[in-house]
Amino acid sequence: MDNKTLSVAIMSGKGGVGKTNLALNLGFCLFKGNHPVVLMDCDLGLANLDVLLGLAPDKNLQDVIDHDVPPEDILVPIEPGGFDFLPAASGVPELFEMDEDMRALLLSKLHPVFADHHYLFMDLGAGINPTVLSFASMSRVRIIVVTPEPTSLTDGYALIKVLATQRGVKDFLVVVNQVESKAEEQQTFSRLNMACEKFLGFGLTLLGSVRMDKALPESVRRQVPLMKRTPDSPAGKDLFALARKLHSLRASLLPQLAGEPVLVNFSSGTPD
Amino acid sequence: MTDGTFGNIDALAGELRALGRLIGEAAAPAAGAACVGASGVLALTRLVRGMGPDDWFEMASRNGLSQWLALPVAEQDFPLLSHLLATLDDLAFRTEHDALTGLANANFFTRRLEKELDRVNRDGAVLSMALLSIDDLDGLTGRFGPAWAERVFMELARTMGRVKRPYDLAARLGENLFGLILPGARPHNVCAMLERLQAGLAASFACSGGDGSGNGGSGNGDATAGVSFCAGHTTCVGRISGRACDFHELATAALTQARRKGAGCIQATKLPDESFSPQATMVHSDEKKFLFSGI
Repeated sequence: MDNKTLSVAIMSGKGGVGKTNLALNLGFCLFKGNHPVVLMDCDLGLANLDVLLGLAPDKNLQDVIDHDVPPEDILVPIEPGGFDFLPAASGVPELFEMDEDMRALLLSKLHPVFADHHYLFMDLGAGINPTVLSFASMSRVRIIVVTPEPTSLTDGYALIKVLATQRGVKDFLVVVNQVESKAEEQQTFSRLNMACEKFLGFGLTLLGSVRMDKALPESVRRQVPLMKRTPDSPAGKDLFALARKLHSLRASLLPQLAGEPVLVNFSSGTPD
Repeated sequence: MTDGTFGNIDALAGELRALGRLIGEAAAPAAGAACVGASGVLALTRLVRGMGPDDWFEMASRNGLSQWLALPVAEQDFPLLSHLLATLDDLAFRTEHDALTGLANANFFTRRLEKELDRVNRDGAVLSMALLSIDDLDGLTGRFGPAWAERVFMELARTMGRVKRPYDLAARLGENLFGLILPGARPHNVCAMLERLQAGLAASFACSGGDGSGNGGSGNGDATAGVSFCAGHTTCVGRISGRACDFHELATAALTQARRKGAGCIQATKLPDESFSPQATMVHSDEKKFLFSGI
């Protein structure tokens, strides 16, 4: 059967820049646009997507690996009708440090779940650990989330550099989060993009930005997706615009996706 | 397998000689009761009722059939079978271990090194290998005799056994060449271990009358001898294209450098890691400045 699932890795060099919120709200928008979406908490070992959703799943990815639990049994519906969530474990270093064989085993077991959805959003942990690098290099699309802070910019650049140098990955979409203005979005993206062009030899693509908005921390406190609670807020409008771009991207990639696996194995030399 | 009854000893001897010719015994004289084909080894068995080990030994000796293996199976506790198994165990041990020290031998060491290098390539692990040799062995052997050298080798082997970790491999690779395979050990780990090894060896000889500073007692009255060793070691991290021989060569070069430096020296080298270069992925100061200022 032809693949229709677009895998999207959402990542950052620095923690706390809004990856999980971005994954959750983009997923919600696309689900509302009649696309089944699965969110996978890939911050293995230190998961928190469930916390944002106010969920406490009994089973998680650890059970799929250790106890052969079918992935359908750990799938948690966020919204009925195709907005689902694959929870990871918290406080399990073994999951965080899993080797390539275990990752391959896990992903092969999860494949039927992926194939049932139009989008797979992988919420990766911050940093450059091997699990982050593997998931990022296997996904079809990579979104780097940065904020205007220099620390976020430097760590985001470091992540891009490691992925480019070690894994040969050179296509990245950038979302600038927590911006005060359009000018700040442009300045932040431009700085990162020019650094990549100058030192790494390739440029980045700006997907867009999300404005600083008090509605977002309020949504987090209430454990309800912003796009469900206040879709007309400034951040909500920005997130909607980002979702539309992703929707267009998937539509343009569909012919290519048909001949590819959901997750491309870069390490084995499979072409992108 | 065939069955027969021991009756005519000459007929049995003739049968075995004829069979020996047929299976090309001359082409594989060491195989004994085995036919060595292109792809394997085959043991041929014939049950002979009424024949004991003494009957066989006499017949084999008289008819030049000593290359055939006889195995009595009628006895209650199979004493010869037990002896055979013990001999096979001993032979298996000897094929992988040094007879004097009981350490692994060079073949076993190389096979293990290949396996560990495979693991490095598979998992991006760390591996170190150390080579060491007793300093000025010729001079010391000239003064105190070959028995003294053997004593030093055995003491070195015992000390290696004490200081190495359970999953390290210690081996004797030549007359005066010893090796250690140290999975997961980085250069500073290896240096620390080799220093413990030197101290342990010196202490052993000090206990038997030496001065304890690497000038251990010879055990020959009031004469003293320097018991120290030079060591060279190499480490690899992550994926490499080199094989065991390359790794061995690097450690040998390090040992040569250590010897040039003088008695008791330890020298380290590192096999380049092809999968990961910190310089390649590191964010340098000019990149940071550019990110901060755009200049």
